[in-house]
Amino acid sequence: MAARRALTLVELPAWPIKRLLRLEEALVRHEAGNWCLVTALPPTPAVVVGLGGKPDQLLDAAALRAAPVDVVRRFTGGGTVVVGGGTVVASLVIEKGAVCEPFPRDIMAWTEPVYAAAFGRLGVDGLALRDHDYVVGDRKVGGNAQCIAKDKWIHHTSFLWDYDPKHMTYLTLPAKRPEYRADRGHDAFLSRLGEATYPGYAAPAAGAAALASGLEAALAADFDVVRPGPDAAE
Amino acid sequence: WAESAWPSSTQTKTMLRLTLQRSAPACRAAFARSGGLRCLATHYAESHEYVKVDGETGTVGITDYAANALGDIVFVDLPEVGDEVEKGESFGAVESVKAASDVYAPVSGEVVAVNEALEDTPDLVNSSALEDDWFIKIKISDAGELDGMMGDDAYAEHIKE
Repeated sequence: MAARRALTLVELPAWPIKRLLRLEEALVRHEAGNWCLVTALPPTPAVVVGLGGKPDQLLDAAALRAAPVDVVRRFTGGGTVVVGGGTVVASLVIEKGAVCEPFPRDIMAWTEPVYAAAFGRLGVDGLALRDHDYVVGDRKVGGNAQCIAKDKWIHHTSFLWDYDPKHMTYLTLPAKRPEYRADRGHDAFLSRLGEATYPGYAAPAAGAAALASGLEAALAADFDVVRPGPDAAE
Repeated sequence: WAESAWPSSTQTKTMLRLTLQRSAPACRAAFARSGGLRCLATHYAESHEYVKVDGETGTVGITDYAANALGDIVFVDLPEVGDEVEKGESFGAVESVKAASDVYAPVSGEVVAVNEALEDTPDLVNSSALEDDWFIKIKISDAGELDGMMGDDAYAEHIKE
């Protein structure tokens, strides 16, 4: 029987998104091993654009001029998100060949049941992928993106534990959007995970801790999971 | 409808490519001796990039297998003319289905042309049009790097695994 691979799961403190993205890219391109990172982001909002995103089309310039925030381009694909105090980020950094073929749809076919199982432990039933978004019902609860590099890939997700509707004004209605969204604006399209979990996990920090434990159990199907303290990522 | 008595241009290109691929080692030897003999052959990397060699120039792209597995390509990030690329190292990326996938140079050399059509029409990569889906052209610095790459038959076996 082949030896099981190890995976290190780290619950990070509230790092700013730029620092988190730098760590993720270092783990994908320069560090060995499989990793899962979970963190509740600090309250300061930021806009994060995918590798190929065009800010002049995706962002509302007037809203940004009125209330400026950092706009960060990440190394993964996918769409534009606003992150901040209500966002819980989960990142899976996995060696090629460990669990699936290194192509986008194969990766998501593996991650979907992992997250469904993890969130089931928090009282959220029916989390699924729809048109490549994490949804509960027909409402988006998390945006994900991926990078497939030489030896590893990353699938990271910004889960909407909570959000401030006025931050969504930074984003235009994208021209290319999933079919299930139709023409719904942000408020009719998005949903807050903190309202769907067991009461004890409603706050993002408590939710992140619970999600880390849920992922530890779900990932144990494929890996030997170790959980050092947050210093492991330093 | 009448079945043509003549092979289509695509079939002709395929037959020519396969014939020349079988004579690729002799082509490379002749190229090394003459320094300028034109030799058309396609070589494949395990990471699903191809290089079509025409004299000292290699035309680089990703295979249909990779393009289909990646899904609809929405963005292509390429180097600039004059950049140096190194065999096995990333020279750019393609974005599809929320994923940015690195693409790797199958041979080393200097970038002499970039397919600028991909900036506005990245889905050309999915269209399987052999003339339109290339990424970059390289002036190959070491033809010996082609040794050990796969030909058509070996690549066909590779993607079956």
